[in-house]
Amino acid sequence: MTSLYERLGGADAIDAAVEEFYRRMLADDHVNRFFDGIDMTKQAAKQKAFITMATGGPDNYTGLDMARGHAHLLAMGMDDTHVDTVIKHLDGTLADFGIADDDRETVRNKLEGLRDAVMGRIPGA
Amino acid sequence: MTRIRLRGRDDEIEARADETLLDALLRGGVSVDNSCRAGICRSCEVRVSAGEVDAGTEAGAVRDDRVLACSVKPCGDLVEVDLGDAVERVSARLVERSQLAPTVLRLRFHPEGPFAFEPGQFAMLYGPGGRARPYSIASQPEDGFVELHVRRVPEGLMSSWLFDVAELGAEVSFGLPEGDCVYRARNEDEPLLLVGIGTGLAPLWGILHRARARGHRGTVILVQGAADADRLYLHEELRELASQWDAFSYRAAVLSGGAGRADVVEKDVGELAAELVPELRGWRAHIAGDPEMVKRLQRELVVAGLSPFSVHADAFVPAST
Repeated sequence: MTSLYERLGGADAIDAAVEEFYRRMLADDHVNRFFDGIDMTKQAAKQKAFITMATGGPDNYTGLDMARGHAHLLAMGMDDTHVDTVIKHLDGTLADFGIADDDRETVRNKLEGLRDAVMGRIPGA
Repeated sequence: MTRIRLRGRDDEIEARADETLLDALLRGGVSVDNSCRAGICRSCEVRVSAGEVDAGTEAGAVRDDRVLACSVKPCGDLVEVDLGDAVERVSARLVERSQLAPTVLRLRFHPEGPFAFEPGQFAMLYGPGGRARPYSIASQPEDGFVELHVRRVPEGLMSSWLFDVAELGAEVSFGLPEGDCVYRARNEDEPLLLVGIGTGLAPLWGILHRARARGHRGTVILVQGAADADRLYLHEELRELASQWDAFSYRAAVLSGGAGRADVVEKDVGELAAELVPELRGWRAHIAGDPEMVKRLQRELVVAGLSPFSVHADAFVPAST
């Protein structure tokens, strides 16, 4: 079976999904402060890698990367509710792109599996 | 515990846990240029000649053996720092100065060596007494001078010197130009929105003239924002340019003092930009100036439809001391 990433339409469709996802995150006062002062084009590239990974596309993410990449956000006060928001907005974005709920559930589960790494709860990571 | 040694010296500094390389050096009495302490201005760039540093998530803080001391932490047993030729600099002389607004100077410098840059990039300006501040470059390489727009900052070490002391002929030096706030349209038809707050106009002035020289055909809109109409500068020049160049239009937004002035409205600069470009999809935007405004505007414009892949922000971070 092909991955959701492929069925979405690969890299080009992911760009459009990143734009929508990023827009939702920036419009949400619960999380947008974490994006203050960052380089948006670089951040968009990171989000592209993130959504590619989340939808089962080619990725090189490891749990350690997830921990390192979010350590500064933990210091800024990131907690589980912010992770919830990320999952909610990615889910909503994929729904906008016509992705069915069973596929979205796979994505949600994949992200849940990374929650502890992101939150720094994996020893040694 | 990591020891920090300066290349060519005997004394060592013991880094404290979680201390940045810059903090450790300063605490140890080592004079290191620094300004924003946020990994943006690059004034604290030093060379690490041995040992390792941890840049965390700030991958841009390490470039080969050059590191931004404010953004890395020393790690391992020993880190050797070479301050000797940490930064390549080009000497320059002040050759022209004029007042653009009561609080803004236009300064032109003649570099005394090769100085390659793209209009809109920024470079560290080094003055006497360890003064160092980054400024955006408003001129074109073919102009033969480096033009900066300097805002007077109350108690600012560099701007006070430039406003009150520096005379024509004054010697300064420049660090290597950096930054990607440059003309970068994918093609000559891509519409461009340029939003400059205060002297954030400087890099945009450079980009604007670059776009014209490159034969840009797509719509170009420049919005200048200022707290007060007295602080607008190059306003007449921009209006004049708009009358000569069909694709280009210019407007200014001020919070006060704008009544009765042509092409000036009293409103929020973001609101004016949104009015001028109601549909931002397909546009490329450059936003420069005050960091709080830049943050807010790039967020608003992306939420309004601009692609996050097409927004370029140049936040002017104030000195921390």
